Parts: sequence; structure tokens; C-alpha cells
Amino acid sequence: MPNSLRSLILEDSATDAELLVYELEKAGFNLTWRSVGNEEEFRDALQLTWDIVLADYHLPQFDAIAAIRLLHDLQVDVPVIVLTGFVGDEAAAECIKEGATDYLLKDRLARVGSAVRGALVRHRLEAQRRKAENLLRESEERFRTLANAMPQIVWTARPDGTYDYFNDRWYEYSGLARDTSPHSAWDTVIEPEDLLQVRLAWADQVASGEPFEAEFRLRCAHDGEYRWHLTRAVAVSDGSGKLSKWYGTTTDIHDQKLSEQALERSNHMLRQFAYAAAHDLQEPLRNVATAGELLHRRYSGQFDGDADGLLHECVDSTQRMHQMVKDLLAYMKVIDRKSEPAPLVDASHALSAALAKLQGPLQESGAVVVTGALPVLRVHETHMIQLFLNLIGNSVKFRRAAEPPRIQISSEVRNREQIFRVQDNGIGFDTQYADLIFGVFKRLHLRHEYPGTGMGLAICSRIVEYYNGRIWAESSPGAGAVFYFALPLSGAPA
Amino acid sequence: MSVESTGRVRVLIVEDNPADVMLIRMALKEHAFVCDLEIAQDGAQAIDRLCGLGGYSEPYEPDLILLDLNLPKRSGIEVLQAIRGRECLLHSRVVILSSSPEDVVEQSLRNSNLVADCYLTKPPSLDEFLKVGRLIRDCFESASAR
Repeated sequence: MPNSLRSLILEDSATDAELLVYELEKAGFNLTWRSVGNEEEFRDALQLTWDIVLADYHLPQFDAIAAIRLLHDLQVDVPVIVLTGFVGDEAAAECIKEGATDYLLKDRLARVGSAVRGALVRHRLEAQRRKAENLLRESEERFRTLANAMPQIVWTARPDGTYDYFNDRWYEYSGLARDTSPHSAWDTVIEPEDLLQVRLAWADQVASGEPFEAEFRLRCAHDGEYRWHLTRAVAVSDGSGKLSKWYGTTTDIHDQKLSEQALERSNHMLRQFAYAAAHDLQEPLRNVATAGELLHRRYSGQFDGDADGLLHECVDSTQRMHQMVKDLLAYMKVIDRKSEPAPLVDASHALSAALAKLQGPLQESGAVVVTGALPVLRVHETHMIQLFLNLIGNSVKFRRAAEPPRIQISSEVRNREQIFRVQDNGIGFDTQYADLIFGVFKRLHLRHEYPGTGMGLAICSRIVEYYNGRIWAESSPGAGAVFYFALPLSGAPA
Repeated sequence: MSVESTGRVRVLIVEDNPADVMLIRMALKEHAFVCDLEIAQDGAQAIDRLCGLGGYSEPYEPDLILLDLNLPKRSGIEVLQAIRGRECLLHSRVVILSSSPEDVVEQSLRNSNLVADCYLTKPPSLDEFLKVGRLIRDCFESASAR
């Protein structure tokens, strides 16, 4: 307990003052004190610092109320106990109202010690409360200054989801008056088509306390246009873990959204066009091929050698074009799944599926396939199968005549990427073509040497791009080839 | 029923591409599938023929319908819906013969709550196409044996 006490006594009776000093010292205070009797002396004494003021309620020129007002005017922060010979309830109430910490009847001076202790404690608590309030006010002012400096609409809501603050941007954008009830403000600005969904989504998030994120249109007061906005909000908890406030931002994403939609529309049309073209092209192609074959079957021998050769070339070319169109369709199909999230897939299952499909060529060539441990990762299984199918298929196709293919498949994690490796002992290729081979319809060999449309690696490359991954190859002629593809582990396709 | 009475299978080919009609005829002939053939060149004509509408005085009840899907006027799906809606065609076998892959076709029919007896893709080579004749015969015979 702090025993030293600096006490300023406003009292015109020296006896009463000494009595006070006596009681305070008796109560255990190590007292420094001064007794003053009028305003002038009181003002003079205020140049020093006091822990407490004990003021007589009734003095001829300068009483306790006047002293309290003076302390207030001079912004001197010190607790005041009012002492009085007789005091009615009204006078006591007046003292407290003016800012006295307590009051005490003079015939109960024995209690002055405990009254002072109580006053000191109450004063300290009061000061702490005021300080906290000031900090809060300052922090709120800082928040509002910051909020108003931001280019976005910023708002807050109570834990029950009712809005209680919007920054200037909101009023500028919405054209609403500042005294509009924030409670219903959103409803008048959100595009009516979006309103129900937004309300339901917001109600869900308010119930769960989980972060809120939604895209919807807001009416711009300036030109009446509904513009797309992205709204995000997070709930902040107080110390006890209870939600105390939602903080939200609303950002204009209109231009970005429109260009996204235009891009999506154009991509969609392109896909439709590609499918239609590919499908409708197949039909006459098939007819040309079969008509050529019919010609050959029925009239073969009646032509001269050149004509037979030309006919053969005709049929052969249409068959090839048929395969090319099919492969182009497969290439287009890679991005079909755009919106589906990739499931967790065991790469070793995908590898088994690919090996099963390659069973014929693998057996015929006497291939040996060595597999390391493969991971489980987020990827569409058909994509994974296609990657293995094309890369291993190439290893078998581009094998050396003298030696059965030996194909090693492994995987490791490096720099947040899952890197797959397919190595063979085949004919390899010149490193200068390492990028070219991933192009659409790109081939390094003559068709009669190695058949194929040149789409296999292009499809692989497109699949890997879909996951924001990479594909590359290392080789030199005769030394076999190593193909790598890396899929980012954070994984979601852009 | 009609097979017993005339001894010949009655077939309706719904196909707009004359080259394919010719190939189907050849393919059926190649596998000694003896039948009475009628051709409908678009979906609307097929529905009219089956229901005895338009210029046709009476409905047609073929034992086997070879149906392309991508057809002028009314699609193959609409034709199949019309077939499934006619009780007198309950015994008719329907083989879908289209240029799209079988699984794609089957799925798109299933999306319309439709099922065919058999799904075949028009192959790109003559030899393969001629084999389709045998597939059609097998499909028809196994379906009829059920």
C-alpha cells in the first residue's frame, strides 16, 4: 500500500485542517500537506503535484464546487473529497455531478483514511478507463482515416451481421446520404438479381463466423450502371474468442470480370467451333477414304501403276488426316475440365492403367519397365494416364533396333514441385530440338520410319500447362532420352 | 412377327449421307443379312414413315432401325423418342450408327433417358465399315434371341 500522500487541504479553519492531518497520519499515511483558505492560495498550491484534494464544502469566498470547477478548467487531474459539517442529499449529488470523487461528513473524520484510499483507487480506475477510451477513440480514428484513404469500399458489421460503418467511398459510389440507415444500405444498391443469393451467403457466414467472399453487382449512383464487385469480410474475435466485429472490403472488379467473361465466351466458342469442325470434317473424310478403297478394290489392275499409287496415297492421306483430327480433338479436350477441381489420385494407379493400354507394344518389344515410388497428388487421372501413355509409348516407339527398351519411371519433390522422370535407352534426339518436339504436329522423323501425328508431346505439354507445371527433355542422339514433367504442389489449376 | 410372315427382316435406315447408305447396304450384303430396306433421309421423314404421317398412308413397323444421330430437321434423339413412344415399335431393335464415339453417344442418350440396343461408330476405313455389317447382324440376332 502506498503510504506517502501529498494532500492539499482547502479549509478556512486551522483546527479542522489539523484534525484532518491527525486522522490521516493515524490512518498510516506518510503525509506531505498544505492547507489553503482561499482561491489565490489554492491556485498557488496547484503549481505542485497533489495526490488528493480535501475541500470544505462551505467557505466564504471559495467553496468546494468552485475548486472542482477550477481544477477542471486548469485540467488538473486529481481526486477531490468534499468535507462538510452538514450536507443534504442534493448537495452531495451536486458535488459528485461536478466531479468530486467522494464526500465525507466532518463528524465522521475518523473515516477519512479509508475514504482517501477508496478515492485513490476509484480515481486510478477512472483514469485507466479514460485512457482505454482514448486509445479506442484514437484507434477508431486511425481505422477511419485509413478506411477513407483506401480506394475500396470499406465497411464493418456487428457480430449479428448488421452493418454499422461504411467509409466515404461507399457514399460516393452509392450516392446514399450519410444518415441512411446502414442496416438496409446494401439492399438498395445490390443488383436485385444477385440480392437473394448474397443475403443467404452472408447469413451463412455470419452464422459460422467463417470468412466471407462473394462477387456481385452494385449500382453506381453516378451513371446508374451495375458494376461487378468482389466483397471480402473477416470476423475478428475479442480476447475471449467471441466474435466482436466483421471487417469488410468491396472492390470494383467490373473491367476484369467483363474481360474474363469475354475470354470465357470466346474460348467456349472456339471449343465449339473446333469440335464442330473436327466432327463435321470427319464425315466427308471418311467418305473419301472409303470411296478410294472401293475404287481400289473394284478397279485395281484396270488402272496403270501410277494411278494405283495415287489412289493409295489418297486413301493413306485421308486415314492420316482422320488420325490428326482425332488427336487435335484430344488436344482440345485437355482444358474441358476447366471448372472441376482435381481429385487426389495415386500416380501408380495411373501408371498401371497406362502400362495396361501399352501391353501389346511393351511385350512385342520385350521392354523392361522399372518403377520407383510414385506419389498421390491432386490431378485428373485421365491426364496422368495420358502423360504416362504418351511418354512411355514414345520410349517404346523410339527404341534402338539392337536392344529392347529399358524404361525407368520415378518421381521426387523438389522446390514445391512434384517432378516425374521417364528415362529410356532409345535412339534419343539432338538437344537442339528439345523445345520443338512439344509443338503441335511436330515430328523429327519421316512417317515411314516412325508413324504418328506429332501430337503426343503437344498433348502432354498442354496437360502440364493446365496445372501450371513444366515439361522438358534431355537427350543426345543414341544416348536415350529423359523426359521430365513437374506439377506444382499447391496444385489448383489457374 | 413380320420376320416369320415374310421371312425377311424389315430394316429402316435413317441416314442423310448417301455414301453411308451405300456403305451400310454393302456391309449388310457382305454378311448375308437379307432384308427389306427402306431409307429415311432425315429425322422428320423417319418419324413420318414410322407413324404413317405426311405422305405415308400407313405406319411402318421395321424389325431393325439403323439410326444416325446428326440428322437434318429432327435429330436422331427425337426419332428415338418417337420410337420409344409407339407401342407397336416395342419389338423393333434400334442400332445407333453415328460418327461420334460409342460412349459419348450412349451418355448423351442416357441424359435424355433413352437407351438403344446397340451403339456403333462409323469406322474410317472400308474394311472396318464392312465389318459393321456383322456387328449389326450379331446385335439384331442377340437382341431377338432375348
